[in-house]
Amino acid sequence: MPDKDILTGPGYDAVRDKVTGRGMFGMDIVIDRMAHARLVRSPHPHARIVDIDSAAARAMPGVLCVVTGDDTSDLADPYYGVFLRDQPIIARDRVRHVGDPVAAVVAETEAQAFAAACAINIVYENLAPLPDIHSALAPDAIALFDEPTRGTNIPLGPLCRSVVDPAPNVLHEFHFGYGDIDSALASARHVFTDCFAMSRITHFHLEPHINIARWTGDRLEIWSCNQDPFLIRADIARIFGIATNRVRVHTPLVGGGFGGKSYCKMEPLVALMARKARRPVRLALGLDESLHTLTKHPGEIRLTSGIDGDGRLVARRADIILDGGAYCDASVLVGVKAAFRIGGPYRWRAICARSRVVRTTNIPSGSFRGFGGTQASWASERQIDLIVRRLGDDPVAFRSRNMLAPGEAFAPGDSGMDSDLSAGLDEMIRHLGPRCPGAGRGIAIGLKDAGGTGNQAQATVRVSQAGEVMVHAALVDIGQGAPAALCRIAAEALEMAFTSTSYAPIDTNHSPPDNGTHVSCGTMVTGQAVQRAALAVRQQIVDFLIEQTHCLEAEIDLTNWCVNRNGATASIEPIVRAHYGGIGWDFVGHGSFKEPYDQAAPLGARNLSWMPCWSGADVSVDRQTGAVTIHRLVVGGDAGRAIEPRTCRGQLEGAAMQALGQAMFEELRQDDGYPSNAEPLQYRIARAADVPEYFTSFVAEHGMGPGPGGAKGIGEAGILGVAAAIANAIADACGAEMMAMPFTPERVLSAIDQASPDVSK
Amino acid sequence: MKPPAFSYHDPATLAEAVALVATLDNARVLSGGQSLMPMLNMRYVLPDHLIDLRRISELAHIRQSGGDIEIGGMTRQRDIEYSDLIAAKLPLLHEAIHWVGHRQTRNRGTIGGSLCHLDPAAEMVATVVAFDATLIAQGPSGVREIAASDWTLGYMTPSLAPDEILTGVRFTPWPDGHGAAFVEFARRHGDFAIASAAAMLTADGAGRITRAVLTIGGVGPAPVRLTEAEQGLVGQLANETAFAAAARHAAAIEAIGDALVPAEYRAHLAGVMAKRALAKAWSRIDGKGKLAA
Repeated sequence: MPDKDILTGPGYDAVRDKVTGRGMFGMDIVIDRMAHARLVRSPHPHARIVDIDSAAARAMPGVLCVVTGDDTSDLADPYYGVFLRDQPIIARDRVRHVGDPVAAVVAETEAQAFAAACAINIVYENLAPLPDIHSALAPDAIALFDEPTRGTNIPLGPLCRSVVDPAPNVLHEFHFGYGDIDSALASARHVFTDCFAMSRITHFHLEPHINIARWTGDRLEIWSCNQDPFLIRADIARIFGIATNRVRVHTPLVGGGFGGKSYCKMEPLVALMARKARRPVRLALGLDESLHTLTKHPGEIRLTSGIDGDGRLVARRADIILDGGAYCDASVLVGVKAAFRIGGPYRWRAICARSRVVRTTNIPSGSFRGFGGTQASWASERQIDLIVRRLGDDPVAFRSRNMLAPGEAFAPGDSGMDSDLSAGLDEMIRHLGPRCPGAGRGIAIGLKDAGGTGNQAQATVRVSQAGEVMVHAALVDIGQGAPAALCRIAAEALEMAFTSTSYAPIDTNHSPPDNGTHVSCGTMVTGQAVQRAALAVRQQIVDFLIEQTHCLEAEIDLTNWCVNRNGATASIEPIVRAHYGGIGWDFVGHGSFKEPYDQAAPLGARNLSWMPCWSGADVSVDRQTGAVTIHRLVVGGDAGRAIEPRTCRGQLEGAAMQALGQAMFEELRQDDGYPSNAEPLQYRIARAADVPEYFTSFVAEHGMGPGPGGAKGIGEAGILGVAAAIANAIADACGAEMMAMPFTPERVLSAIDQASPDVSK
Repeated sequence: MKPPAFSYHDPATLAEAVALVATLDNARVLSGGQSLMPMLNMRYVLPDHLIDLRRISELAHIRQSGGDIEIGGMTRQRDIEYSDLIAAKLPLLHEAIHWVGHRQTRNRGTIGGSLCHLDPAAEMVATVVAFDATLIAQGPSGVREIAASDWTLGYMTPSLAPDEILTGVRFTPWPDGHGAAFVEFARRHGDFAIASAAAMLTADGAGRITRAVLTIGGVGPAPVRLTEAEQGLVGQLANETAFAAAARHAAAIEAIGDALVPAEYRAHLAGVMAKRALAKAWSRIDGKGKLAA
């Protein structure tokens, strides 16, 4: 693919618009008579709301109304969350984390709303904070919720058990396993138990959450930067008790998501403000507010793994505790996936995994690129390396001996491994090259499922009389390049030029339904729907041309939009106009994809695909300061078939740098339950200068994915194995075993001291 | 965020500026603004008046006077970085300036601004202390000279009266051929140093240290000159043992701890940086280069 495609392909509209500054993000949208909102947020991690005095604020210039929990009383259901709904759209009687929205001011201008928000006087009665999982699990801990959790338990398959509210301050408990764990562990030659901790990090999508809501009678329109407009439509309809066909969600260009814009966030509250103000209302959060909206799950993982005398993995018991923060959000699913994925890319006789999501007074944890798989891969790949060193084995040989073979089921009843794990490992090591002199080397193979279980999507492809293609789907582009990939899939199925395609704006009134940008499913799930829609419309065009011109199918050339017959070339456009009239006609094809449920599969449906992350790092450690220098970092994934190779590499490398950030320095810290760096200036993400001296990625194409031409997801892969690879390299370099992230110099130094006292003195 | 309203003044001469600081209440002097502007935007400081020194050309200079080198308070850090005179005569300052923030901030930031802001980790302060430089302030009653050792009154508090302006700083270069090194440990380049060390050494032909300076930044509330360690070094053969002994004084500084960096780690780093600075300074002495056995 020539480089000039970057700016000339219609599928790259979004890329071009971002680069030139022409792109219209939610922030840029202006609606006639639009008013502006500002939230008043809790300064306390846990408190009862005693009184909200908004009289002074309401009397201030430009103020239209103030919305509080009282305004939610006539809603059909003022709570949201994925499966379990415990998050009020605005605090009702209690605040459960610093930044919990308590009141919302609507005014003519943003400045007036800001000024009035400062004039709202709220009296709180402080309650004991639950700053971490241990304080929340303490026997005498205060209950974060007085009532049972609303919602429905997640439906799963035979190897799983899911319990809602199993214990005080435990939102959800999940069990997954197969085989006889006790006898398998008893039969093992070696059994090792290790504990690992995960830090709390934030998505840091540069575009904060932006929403505009407008009511026209009982019809609601929302402009929202989100990853899943149809899920938001469903939430809004349920919350307001209105039909889904009265709710229209527009999703403009989105400035990054990484999971932070998955599922409902500010949308219902903005709709409520617009209803009360009787005006369109815009709420543009600051980046600091987005940092108080959602984080990645921190927590602890204890692994007990048994190995036989031949160096083969036998069984693993896992106890995973995730800090879910104040509200559920997507915690149930993250807990499920973390436990399910704990075995990694290996063959086990028995697995027994338990995950618990603990409620704390922290910023809610939820969807984050990797979705429990990063946490599981970190712990699993660290323990594999510890085991290898204890047994004096070789990190590559040990992994190769235990890896799943292509086609081998990840777990009984689930789909088979659709990557050649061994080939990927070889390729990664080739890219890593000879070890840097004096450096330690670490490798890791992260793994998560991709595409989801029971996932579904629909798509429409339209082709005009002139051969112009419009692809309609609700797969949101959050930087992963969905429009270009889907347009390329459509063009290929149509046998038409990529340059003739375009991706339609997303709007729930017109776009075909889609579960959204989750679980690296775009090319596999929406991609298959697009492919089917394109094939359907192609058939319509072929049938039409045969009927009109009595040509043979082989005489039709859609690439050049003509029929070649009897030595003559006839353009298709006049044929269409001759039949349908002067203004022409769009052929419209529809396609859908649904992964069927399967009651024999562990999660109630087979996972569509598997997403390995082959990672390797060479690092050196300054034994006197604990500073770690990453000399080489290689990350590889398997796209099955790379529809957009450059974009695949971009995804792998971006994800790897996000992982490097968490491994080396990123962390949302707190001080007695109060976030201490939840603001852009204090919170440090990776910068260009943090890119290792040698950093590369590779996109394997093992061709076994379920998507068009063997394609499969790759978007989350790069984040899965990198932290473990770096930690394994640190251990190789200096003996320091990092059990918690980030690997700050003082932590590394203290691990060096533990490993070999007196060396650093 | 945006700063609160203030009145902006940009005097063209030092006399005007001094008149303004002497008469205006709650005024802050703006000299480069690489710290003050963020502090204004975050509303950590709420001045009624801002006196911007950027138009006062007489305050921006690097010049030799006698054997000394005088740098005007409004001299941009970038100009110091690129000065051949500084590189030749004040190698410690030349090396230290590269550790100050980033290229972009050095384009605007000034030496005077850094000295008056007095961050505990500021490389310029540590360098001035290492040189025993003389700071020059001007107030309504005239010029006052302040020894570097008297400059710091406390945490981020310079010895400058509310009606005075720091006009420059005067360095006395060390003899040609001396060794100098500035080393620093930060989480990432450009971050505030967790610990920094500045060292200068001279030696005799037998490899004995004849003069030594060692300053530690970032560890205490202000850069610390380790005079005892310096006295201990003079007369010693330069070797690992001598440097380690000096470094122990650095590790004994009462270190500040914060949420990110525990005090013990900071103190430990002070020792490591001291040792590295001394070894590096020694390796740079003309005709030496290696530690004596």
